[in-house]
Amino acid sequence: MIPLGLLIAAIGYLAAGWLRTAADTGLLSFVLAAWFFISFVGPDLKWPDATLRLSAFYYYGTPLTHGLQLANIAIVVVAGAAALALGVLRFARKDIAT
Amino acid sequence: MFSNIFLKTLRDYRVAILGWGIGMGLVIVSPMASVASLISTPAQRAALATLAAQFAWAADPVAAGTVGGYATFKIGIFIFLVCVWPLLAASRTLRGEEDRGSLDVLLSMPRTRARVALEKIAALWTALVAIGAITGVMAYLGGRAFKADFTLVDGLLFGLDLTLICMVFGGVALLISQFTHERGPAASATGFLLVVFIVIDMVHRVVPNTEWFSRLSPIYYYNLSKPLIPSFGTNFGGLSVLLALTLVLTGAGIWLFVRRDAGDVVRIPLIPVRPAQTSRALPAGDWSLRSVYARSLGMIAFPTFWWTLLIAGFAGWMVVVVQQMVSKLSDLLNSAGTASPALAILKNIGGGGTELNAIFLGAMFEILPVLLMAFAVTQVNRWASDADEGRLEIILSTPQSRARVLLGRFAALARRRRAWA
Repeated sequence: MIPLGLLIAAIGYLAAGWLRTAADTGLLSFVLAAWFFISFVGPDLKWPDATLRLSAFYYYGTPLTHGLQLANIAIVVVAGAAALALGVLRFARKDIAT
Repeated sequence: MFSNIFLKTLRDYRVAILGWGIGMGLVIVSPMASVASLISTPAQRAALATLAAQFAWAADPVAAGTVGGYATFKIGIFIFLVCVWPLLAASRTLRGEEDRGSLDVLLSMPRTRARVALEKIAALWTALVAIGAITGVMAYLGGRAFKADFTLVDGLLFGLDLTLICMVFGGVALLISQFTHERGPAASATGFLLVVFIVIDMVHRVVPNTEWFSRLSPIYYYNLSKPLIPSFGTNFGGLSVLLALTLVLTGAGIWLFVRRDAGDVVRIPLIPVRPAQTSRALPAGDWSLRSVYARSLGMIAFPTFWWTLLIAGFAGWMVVVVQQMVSKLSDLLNSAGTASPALAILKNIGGGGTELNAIFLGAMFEILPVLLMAFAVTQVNRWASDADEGRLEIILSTPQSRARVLLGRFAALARRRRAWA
């Protein structure tokens, strides 16, 4: 579950390049709630697999019963790394006064 | 929206209104999705009601075989998470602004203190009403989707009940903040009282003939109403008590604010007041000052410890609960005689194992990454507020690249998370 935590942190660092604290925290909370809803209620609503894949919890899978799915974890790591890289780029170029 | 204090303050709460309203709406709708599968036969309904009775300490298992009843019962004490925001916001509204010095500017304008306080608190209460309304509408829409029998009015009354209990704890935070120099102790004390009141309310469900004791808790009056259960309905007496508590606590807080010095606390005779804490200078030679990475590690050590304790405790509690519940759940899930849809759902969430123990434990442990990600959100909040409030300017004036500063903070977060695992 570490890659999931780092993914949401990386997204937050990226969003902080444009948003103020309250908006950034609100966005992250919304994303977390949406992912939770998609993964835990989506199957009951018979949502298509393409929709379920939008949630990071889809890639977390069920490690307790099926073990770690390395390919899915790699996707999460790559997504987190990409978000972090963009966040670093944005932070390097932005005016910290704005 | 900047024409007056009320509108400006309400505008500041726009993200919280949407976030908490939609979030709490999703929290109440989520169990509705599973109950439709759990109560497809009368036998399942009866088994669910029996299972719910085992957890009466958490919430009254009223009409647990209905969509609204199950959702109300399942949410239980977790609904009071919504009280976290108003207690933080109320402690921040007056005391927090005094801490930052922004209230001095506001009080220098030709407006009475009472008017300033009333407009700010009115904006906070309006935000809570909006949150309650959004939650109520979402509960109604969820009920429609899963064929519940409560109406839009019932959903809005549920939202109103939630709003009033939030106002009570906001009022408590506002009152306590008049006695503290900083908003942090006021928020902490109110959070502690929230937990105490939840426990006091639980007592009468566990110990017979102790309802008189539970009446000391405002949570008791919140639980008198269950609008999502049409057969139980709304207790307007309970709502009135919550409203009265709100008015008394808020009124007392504003009355004390008007009469004390700005920046000072209300002094109680014979009780010494701790002086306001001055900014702490960094100790020379501290190990954490060697780099941004080390300093970030030092800063998040304390929060990491408490979050680790919380999550480890939750994981341990889950193992114990699953062991106790699995036999009862087995009866419920197999009562239909054919493959239970609820068991299929649990398998989807917890993994397609064959042992109910493993399936259910897997499903429960899906919550753990949510907690970890919530911790990550708190740390991102810290980074964003450091950037907004100018605390990065000194670091960035030193010969370090911006990439190094950001990556140093991120690396410290990653290191702490690894320590967790």
